Amino acid sequence: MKMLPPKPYSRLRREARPHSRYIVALCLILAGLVLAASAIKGSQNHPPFVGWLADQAVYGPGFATQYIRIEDYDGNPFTITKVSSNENFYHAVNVHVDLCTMQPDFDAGCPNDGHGYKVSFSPNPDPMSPPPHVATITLKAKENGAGGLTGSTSFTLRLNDPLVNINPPTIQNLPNRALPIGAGNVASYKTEFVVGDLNEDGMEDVCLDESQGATCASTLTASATSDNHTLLLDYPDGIQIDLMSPDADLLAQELPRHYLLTATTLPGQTGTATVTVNLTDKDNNVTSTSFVLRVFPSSDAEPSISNTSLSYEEQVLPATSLTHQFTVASNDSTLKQDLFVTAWSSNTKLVPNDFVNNIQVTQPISTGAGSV
Amino acid sequence: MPQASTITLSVLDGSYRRQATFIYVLAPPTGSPTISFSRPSGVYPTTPPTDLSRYPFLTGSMYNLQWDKAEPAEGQPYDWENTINPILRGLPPLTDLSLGLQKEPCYIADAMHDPPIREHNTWCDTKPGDQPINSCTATRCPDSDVGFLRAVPWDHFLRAKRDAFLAALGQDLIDTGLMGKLTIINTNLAGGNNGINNVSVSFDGDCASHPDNCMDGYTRERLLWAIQDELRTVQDNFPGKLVQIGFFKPTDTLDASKGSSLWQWLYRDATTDPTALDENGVHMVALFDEFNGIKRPRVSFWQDNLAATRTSIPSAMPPVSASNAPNYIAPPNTTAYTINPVSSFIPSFDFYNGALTTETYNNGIVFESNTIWSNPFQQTYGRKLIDTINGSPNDGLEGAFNTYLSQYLEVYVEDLDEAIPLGGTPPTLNAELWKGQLQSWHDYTKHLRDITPLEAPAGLTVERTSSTNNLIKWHAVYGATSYNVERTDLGASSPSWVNAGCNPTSNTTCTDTASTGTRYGYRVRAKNSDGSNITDYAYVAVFLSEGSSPTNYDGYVEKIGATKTPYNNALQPGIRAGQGSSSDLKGFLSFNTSTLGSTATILGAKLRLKQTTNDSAFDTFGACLVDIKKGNFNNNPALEGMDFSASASATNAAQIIGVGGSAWVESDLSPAAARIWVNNIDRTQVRLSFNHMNGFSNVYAGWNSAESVGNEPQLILQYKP
Repeated sequence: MKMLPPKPYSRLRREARPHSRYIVALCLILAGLVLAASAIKGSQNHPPFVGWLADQAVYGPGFATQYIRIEDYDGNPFTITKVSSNENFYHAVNVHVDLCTMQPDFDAGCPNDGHGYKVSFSPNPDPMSPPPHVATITLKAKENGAGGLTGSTSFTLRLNDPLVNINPPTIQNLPNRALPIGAGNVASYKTEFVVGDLNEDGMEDVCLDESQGATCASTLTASATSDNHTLLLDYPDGIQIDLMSPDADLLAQELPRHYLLTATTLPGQTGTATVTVNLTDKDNNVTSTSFVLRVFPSSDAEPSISNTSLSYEEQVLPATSLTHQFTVASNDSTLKQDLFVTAWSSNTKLVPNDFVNNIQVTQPISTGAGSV
Repeated sequence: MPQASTITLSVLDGSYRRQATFIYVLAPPTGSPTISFSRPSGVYPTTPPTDLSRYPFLTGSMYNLQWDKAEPAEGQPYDWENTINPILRGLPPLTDLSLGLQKEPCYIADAMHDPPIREHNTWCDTKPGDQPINSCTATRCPDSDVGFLRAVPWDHFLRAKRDAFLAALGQDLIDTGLMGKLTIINTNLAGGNNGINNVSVSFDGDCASHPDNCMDGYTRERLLWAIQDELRTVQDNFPGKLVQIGFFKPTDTLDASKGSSLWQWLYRDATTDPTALDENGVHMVALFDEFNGIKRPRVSFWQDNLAATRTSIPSAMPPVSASNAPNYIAPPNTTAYTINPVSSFIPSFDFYNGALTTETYNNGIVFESNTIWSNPFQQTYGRKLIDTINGSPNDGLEGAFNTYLSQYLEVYVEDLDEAIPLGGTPPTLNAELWKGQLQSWHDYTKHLRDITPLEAPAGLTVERTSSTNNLIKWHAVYGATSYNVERTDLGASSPSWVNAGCNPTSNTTCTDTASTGTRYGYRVRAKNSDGSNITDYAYVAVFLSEGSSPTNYDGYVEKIGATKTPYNNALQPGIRAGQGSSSDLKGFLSFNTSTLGSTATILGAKLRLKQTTNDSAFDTFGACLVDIKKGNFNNNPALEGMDFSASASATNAAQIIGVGGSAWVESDLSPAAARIWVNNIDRTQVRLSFNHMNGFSNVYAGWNSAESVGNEPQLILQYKP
């Protein structure tokens, strides 16, 4: 089962208009974990339980303090040892495992029942080759006597190279958009977009303990430009980009990621503007995407295409062709050009998009017959 | 394989673009192997929407019945009226239910946890997810602050309770007349983690050194048995329904010792492995050769990870001045979609190493969306976003159909609202396109349902129940409303097919009066209500052992020292195996299978014997071993002393267990042995024996021989003429 989803966000309305009709024929010619506990049942002695610590990745000195639970349910005393898989990067001795003390101002998250431990990290004093570096740290709790059973947990410490471009952000395509002038003699367009980054820039960061100096602020920067300042000004004057509120059910370190773009044109202006959205992560990787915003007088109208007769078509071999008729229409008095119809296939192994032999479209007769 | 393509029609007037789509499917002719059986099909929501009628593109509703809600405490009546019954009653016309079965009641683990703890029967689930056990406070793991004790899936107490729950649920739906509203059952392995997976479970036989979430007492055989018991019980209690099971890619540490990965081992043809014995010591079959449409109806494997993405090519954006195209960039402005999961995560495809053959498609593959396409779950590493960006549910449906022949998708309600916005709100950018595409798949999968039944009945068998009657039985076929049953006398000089006098509609059995012969064939086919869809025939034959005068071919041979003495036409039990007084005994059966004809293909075979002794021989020596001879032992059909040690075509082709006196026992021959060693142009003979153990005398098992009319040993063959 999944986590609860973010709340849906409604987008803009598409207007319906009356149409006049053209008939078009389409002819298709087809060719061809490591988890937090363990369980040993029975009356025998049990190894000490050692809890779970999160992996950490940083770009500079300073790993965040974490808290862990270590306990022997049989009441046997135990000794804690630490092992680093990469002593050249991070010495095990620099990992400090201390029984939690009752200092709520400093260790509010530390289990305070005699079994909680604070795991902190000293800066590694050794000179190192350039990053990245990774070390797996293993904490072991071994019984003193009583069979000497051992419990353990492992986690990784990673030092990333801040100069290395690992992964740029990923941004969802934004569609071109046309809309009429509306209230206030302006056009206002809102669209949500989502951003990902495999480095989790903007989605983490090391927020485990702000008291240690880590920041939880976004490390993604969003901006936008317009190439037509007569119609639309740049960010932030004509274009706003807002980080959408996190869903209450989601973990803080997984944010931010959802943005809301609002573009508001200057009063009374029509025309087109190419809007370019730029996302910059903390590695200075930039990803951009553009869309065309067209603002028109409210008398302009959109065409329609009807497909009422066909939801699916199954043909059984050896049949290889299909002809499908549909209707397009427009009563746009300011029509800029004849209606132009195209068709394409999502599965080019089944229906190649060569537009000559495999998909042919006959254009509306009233605007001149043709095929592609 | 059938292939689909989404054809997009686009009209542009210089300012706007509008689009419409339909799906085009090119399919092989009806009857082609890959489309010869019904898979779960349709578009379902992951959770029941408030008003299903708002979504005409939905096939029906998905509903997860939680076992712990229906049976919160042991011994209490099941509560169907506050769980599934109102859901079924509330379904609009022409819609149905895809029923999920989840979770288990607290009392299951409680029964094992209350001192003394039942050794090896629990495991500590430290990632219980939405399992109900957070309310099972009594079952907290003693050595974990986040874990809960749960029964292992193969625990017999759990399985007994599970089977009772499934039987009661099936009976409720029959009693209330609601069974007809149910089409698909998506079960999960109780005691596991909502399915067969090791996302949070270590299937590992070495819990001492690898304790995290380890299932103590784990063996592959026990896990397989639990899966089989679950699937068999569901099929038996919900006849004619399409069954799917949560089945992810599990792994363990036994690949080297078992010679294959866990997944392949579970799915493989186990019948070729002589060491593959189930919990009862009986030669077992794995999923591939049990749920194959012959022995049992096929099943489908369900995963919750379908995603599709398209990579953008921003520089290729066309100079379209404006567009109100949906929030989905079509080719050529994005690459073709790619889908997850890849084939190595699909059981049957992984079994065949990705090779696309008819066998690859032997079982259905069904999916739930990995996330909401329109607004992906936020998850570590942004993986769900990366996997779905610029993709759409249609990409997922089409990709899964083209790759795995999947015809079923559970879509999150949020994406459905993307297709049909909530009342009073404006349509979203994706709405128009997604609505049309989902409608296309709804319509196409409805067409796939309308052409059912597709496959001949599975599990067809016949029993000689008396000197005058044969009882024919089979599993119900999805989409069938009646069956034709025909008989032929395979001993006649010119066998012909005649109606057996029963064409059942409400059940899947037929009792045929047939008193004159010793070899009968039956064939059964399924059809829909108006007879427009009729399946091929499934065939079965029953052969009685040849014992009556003058043949006297069955009996037993006693070996004392070097002397081997045949006993045919003996006092009952006429068939004996084990150890006599200072002797060894082996039983012999003879079946005249020659009239099947040289073109017949044997699909399955089983022996059916009536045991007349107690189980002491089985308790002493173990299972009775079955040797099979294609032809006659010692090249002579008659029972001879030399038959005792004559060579066999296959040894240990099956095993017979003890069932107590005066009870019938059935034993399957492995499909491989049946296919190769049953003789379709001459006799097939069988030898029964136990492994010899020193120090025992007069310990033997006995079964009726052919001289006991109505109790004759029977060889039952599924075949294709």
